[in-house]
Amino acid sequence: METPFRETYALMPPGTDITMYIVLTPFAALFIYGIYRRLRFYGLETAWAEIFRDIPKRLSLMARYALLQRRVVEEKVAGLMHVMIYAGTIALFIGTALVFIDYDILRLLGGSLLRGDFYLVYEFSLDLLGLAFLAGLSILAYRRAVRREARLRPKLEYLLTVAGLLFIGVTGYVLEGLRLSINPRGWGGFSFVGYALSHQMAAIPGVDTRLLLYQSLWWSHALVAFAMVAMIPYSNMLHLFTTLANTYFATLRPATPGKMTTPFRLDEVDPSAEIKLGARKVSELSWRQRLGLDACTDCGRCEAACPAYAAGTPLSPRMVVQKLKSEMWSGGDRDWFEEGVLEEDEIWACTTCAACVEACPVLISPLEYILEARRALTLEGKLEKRKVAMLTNLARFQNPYGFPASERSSFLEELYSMGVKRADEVSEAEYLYWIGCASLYDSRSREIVRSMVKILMAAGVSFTVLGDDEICTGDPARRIGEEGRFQELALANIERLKKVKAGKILVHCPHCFNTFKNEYTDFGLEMEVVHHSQLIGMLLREGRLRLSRPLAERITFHDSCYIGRINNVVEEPRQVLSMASKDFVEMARRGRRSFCCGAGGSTYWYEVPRRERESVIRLEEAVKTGARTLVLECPYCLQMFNDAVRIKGMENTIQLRDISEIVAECL
Amino acid sequence: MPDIVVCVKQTVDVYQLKPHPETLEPVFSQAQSKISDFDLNALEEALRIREKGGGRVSVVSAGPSINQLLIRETLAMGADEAHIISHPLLSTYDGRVTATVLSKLVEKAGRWDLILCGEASLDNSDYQTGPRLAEIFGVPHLAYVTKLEISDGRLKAWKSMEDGLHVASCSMPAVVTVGLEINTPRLPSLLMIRAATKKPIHEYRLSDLGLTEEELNPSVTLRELKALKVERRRVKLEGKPEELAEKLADILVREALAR
Repeated sequence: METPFRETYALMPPGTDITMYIVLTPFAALFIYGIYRRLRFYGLETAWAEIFRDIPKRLSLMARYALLQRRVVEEKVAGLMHVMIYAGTIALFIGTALVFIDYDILRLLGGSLLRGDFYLVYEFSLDLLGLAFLAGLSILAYRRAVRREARLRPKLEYLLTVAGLLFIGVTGYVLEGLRLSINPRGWGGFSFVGYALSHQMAAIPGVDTRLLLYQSLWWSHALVAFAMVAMIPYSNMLHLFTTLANTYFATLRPATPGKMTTPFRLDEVDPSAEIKLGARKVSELSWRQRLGLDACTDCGRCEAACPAYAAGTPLSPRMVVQKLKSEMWSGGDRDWFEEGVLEEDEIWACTTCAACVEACPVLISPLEYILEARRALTLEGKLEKRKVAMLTNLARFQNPYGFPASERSSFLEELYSMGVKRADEVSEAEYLYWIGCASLYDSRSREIVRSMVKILMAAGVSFTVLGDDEICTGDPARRIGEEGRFQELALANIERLKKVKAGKILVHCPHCFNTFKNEYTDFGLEMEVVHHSQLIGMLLREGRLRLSRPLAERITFHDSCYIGRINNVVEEPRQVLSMASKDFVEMARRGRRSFCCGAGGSTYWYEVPRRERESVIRLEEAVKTGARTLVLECPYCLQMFNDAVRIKGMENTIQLRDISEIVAECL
Repeated sequence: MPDIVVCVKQTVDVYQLKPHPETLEPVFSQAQSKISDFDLNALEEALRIREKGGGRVSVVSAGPSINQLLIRETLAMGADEAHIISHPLLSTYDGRVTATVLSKLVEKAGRWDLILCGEASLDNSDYQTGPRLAEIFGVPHLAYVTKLEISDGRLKAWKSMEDGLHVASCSMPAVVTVGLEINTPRLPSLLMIRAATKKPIHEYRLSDLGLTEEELNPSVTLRELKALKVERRRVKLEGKPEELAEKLADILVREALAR
């Protein structure tokens, strides 16, 4: 047998190679201009200095999330679809690149690459991966046309993209088939798809007809491919590059979605300095945030995970990103709120639960844009009554409820009479127990403290409280965008906390926990922060606490966003509950994929217009498990579900208990 | 481009006031002071007018001891400058005294087209200041305004009255008093409040305003201020539902007749 070789420009008239490069030029120019224009949008001047920092860590992120698509494949159908199209595209690209090397470089040097066994492997692999490519596109078409998945937006651009890719894939095989039917080769079987097609093609009468068909298909194949490449920087296909860049630069984001950026330091900033905070224009975003917009492929995973979207609020995290993206692409720089790019209601509906951040396969944080927008809106101060009231309460009473400190004195007295000591009364203690505003002022949430005190005393843990010195951590102010008020409260708290002789802070409120753990560090507080579910878990493991009377009833557990997803404390509460009940069952959405109760991000403090409450949706999931008790780890979740239970009239169906209350009962 | 003067009063936060358990007098020391709610609505309205048509917004305030921090909050909301006077005699006052002192401060603020006031104050609810200022300056006045428009130098005001909505209009200069319904006052952020240190607060002595201490003597004096003591009867009825309904109806009829 003759040595197999790649027949480049076979059956094409002489001079096709030169013509093709001439035809390619405008497409290539369009591509290069498009890329240049995009880079200009991001503001490459500032980005340039960043590119070579922290390289190993960034490459590893890029490899895991962009190249290996760790999160993309977490969804079976969508993941399979994407991996097949992805592998097919890469294979076809490498295939074409090899032809270029073989024909336009090695040939001129008198060499050859695509011949012999290597060529046969090449042909076989390309035919195989081309099939994967077409299979992936078929799943895509099925999801969009047959299943009509709600989160997939119909758009002409997407239709054209898919049509173009399908055309390239199908014509590639047909060309192969035609070529082999006109010019059969001994090794034709290695191009197994094209070979099979060649028998069909042979049915077309007349070699000249087939040749004409071949030549016209060849050009249309080439032209569509050129056009597709040229359109990359002008379409969603740009994600080929932007997702690589976005995952690479993801180290520039705050380490966890629970940590907001600190744009200034209240104790360092010049009081009369010009103030600029947050963003309400694309130009006010950082280059990395603008790049993030461009990495969005409109896949809708964030939207599907978003509790505010599920509750029927105007918010969809995907649409926030997509709207900002098209604003950037339009080249304008309009005020988002004055020009109707975004609605204020969208921005205020967010519970900051970070489900969108967890869902995004390419490490975009829709939450980040929402929080930037909030900062800009709050800086302007034109807020509605409930938000104004909460912020005024924080300013005047240092708690979001607006209760004077005297409201909590009887409760503090009760704690003192139980034997709890204030930090200034003892020389040293292992833990400072931070009670939090919810439990200082709300009667139901006070039960959590009573249970915790009982547990701590039973286990012989030394702890103190701040008593009247405790004020709000500032979390609601920061999440609503009032950075100055947050820092005022934070700095006051840190000054007090630094004087306390305790190595660790014990907190049962996830929002306080997150603020201490992730945000106070920017202001110089370095204390170990322990959530009560973690401490109880440790006491049980160490045998300092024994559950002598475990519950017999069925219980289930709702992860709070700021403990589970955002701070990755998922195992400890489960260990505790499996010891506390013989019948601990899980809901479908749990751990880092839990579903917000609807109170986070300050939304607890104002009305969000919604079709259904997040808490009601979640409560129904809990009831479905058959559990008699829904166990919680957050005083705000507790209050939200309390309302949900009353709304649904489920007082006799399901009980709500904090994890500490369950444990205290089992002692 | 109307220039606007807004009168603001520093009052005690009445929602924090609690009566002394024995004397029933309100315990002022336990309550914080704040800018009277209605006055913030007046300021917000002034700022909105300025956003549309330009002009200058000045704040005036008089009281026994004006807290500059609270005045700075009004500047942080967007007022351009403040004119204030603190005098111990202003701890007792009536509508006439207040309006007299404020009118002198308004003159210090310079040229004006419109004075905006809250329709009443959070603590005393006298409803006097606005109308009296209009009398002093001899200009028209519109009270209880829930919507305000300015066009061609004339004011058009929607007033919510007991018998319905009145729409009135008048020329400027004029005095307008507003209620809580007219708008939601903006909230200055902490950074804005700090940045407002740049804006001027002019503080005056009595003599600067051409006033004497005698002129601060109120014509009306407060005799007594006491909380109403309300106590529930705590009557417990027992029996079957039908009997309970009967008994309850009896009591209600008896009580109604006794009135």
